[in-house]
Amino acid sequence: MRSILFLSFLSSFAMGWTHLGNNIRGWKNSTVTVYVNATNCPISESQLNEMVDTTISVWNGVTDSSLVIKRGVSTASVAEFLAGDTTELPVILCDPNFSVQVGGASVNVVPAATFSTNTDEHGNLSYSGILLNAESGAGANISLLTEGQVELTLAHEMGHALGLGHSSQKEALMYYSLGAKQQALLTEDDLDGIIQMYPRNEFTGGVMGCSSVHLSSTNNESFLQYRGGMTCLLLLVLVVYWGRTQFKIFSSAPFIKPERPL
Amino acid sequence: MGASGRSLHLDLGGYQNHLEQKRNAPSGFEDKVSSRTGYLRLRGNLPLGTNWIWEPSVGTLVPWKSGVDGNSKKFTTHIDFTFSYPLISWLRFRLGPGVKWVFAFSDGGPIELNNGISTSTFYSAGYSSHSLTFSAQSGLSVVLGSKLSVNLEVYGSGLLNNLRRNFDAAITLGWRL
Repeated sequence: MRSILFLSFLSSFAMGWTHLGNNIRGWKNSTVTVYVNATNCPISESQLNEMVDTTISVWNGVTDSSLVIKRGVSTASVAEFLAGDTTELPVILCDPNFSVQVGGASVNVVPAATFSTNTDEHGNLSYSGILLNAESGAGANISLLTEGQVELTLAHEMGHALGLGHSSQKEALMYYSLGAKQQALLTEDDLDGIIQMYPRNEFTGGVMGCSSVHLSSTNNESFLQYRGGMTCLLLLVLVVYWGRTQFKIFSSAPFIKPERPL
Repeated sequence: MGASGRSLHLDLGGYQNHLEQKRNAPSGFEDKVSSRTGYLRLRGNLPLGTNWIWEPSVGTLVPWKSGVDGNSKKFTTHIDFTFSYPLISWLRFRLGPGVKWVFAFSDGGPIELNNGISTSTFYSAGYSSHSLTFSAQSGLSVVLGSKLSVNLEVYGSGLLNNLRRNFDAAITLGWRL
């Protein structure tokens, strides 16, 4: 199944969270790498990467979801992606011939589109990608949008690339229209959709973020995770100390058998 | 509600999701980013022999959240193992671990929604899912007599992860059953 999902600046009505299909279960691995290729983009590679990172942090911030998105580098072209010839998925590409994919007039109101979704036999997403409008002279070319609008667009399309459909709630990020939104914020509806598709289970690993401890820290994210790990250890020490002082548990004091009454 | 004996309490009040997002949300978004709902809880009161009281509880957000289309529903429950300690005779400090259980389910029905150009068919998921996250609870309990109390709690989850940290709050009126 391949469908094209649009985000436009038109406006209209409302409902509840949806998915792209009734049995789509998201990507098989809840750690998803989004590959970015800035070739043909009307904005610089560093600008695009920065916006993608902001978008990723929006979806990574869902407490009750196991979803972890990372950014990677893609070498795929639009033609290769559309032909189904890339394994760097999901991918974000800039399309200088955007009107060919979305149709004539739409190129002036549609800043991005998600081409999806192929699923495997288990219902997991196996193919998906986002094309950004980079067509010269197009009214919705992303270079004409503010940084916030591009981030909103990317965040919405990333929701599709992860398996979410539209929301009927006007304030939701997954509502079809940007409307008056200025900031990529997830509403309860967006959260519910992603939680249902990528639920978190801390009984199978990790407590309050302790599962994400990486000791090989080379970037800021890993540093934060490392710091989280240190906090885990400190918390454990405090719990043990409290237990010892209040209830004499974890105590090494010898057990004294009470004497029998005479 | 002192430390004199075992008892059971029914708490009823309000629950606020995502306090931290409410703080960051632009004007007009607060009500949608951070939703409010009712909260119903059953709480035990088990003195531990010192001034500490163990207060295990099970609470649920009411009513269940439902999509406008009726196809998707969400059921959120807190199972907590809180300890309380008297600060003064009528005020207790509460602290403890817990588990937040989110159960989302839907019937897989098709839904026609606008896609900006025309409409597309989307779907509610045809399966259910469970999310289980550990949380820490902290709060105050104002003792209003032998039967009544007012409880204010903050639930924190994902506390050790900067990106996922989340705070909810509840205020309830408690009756000793």
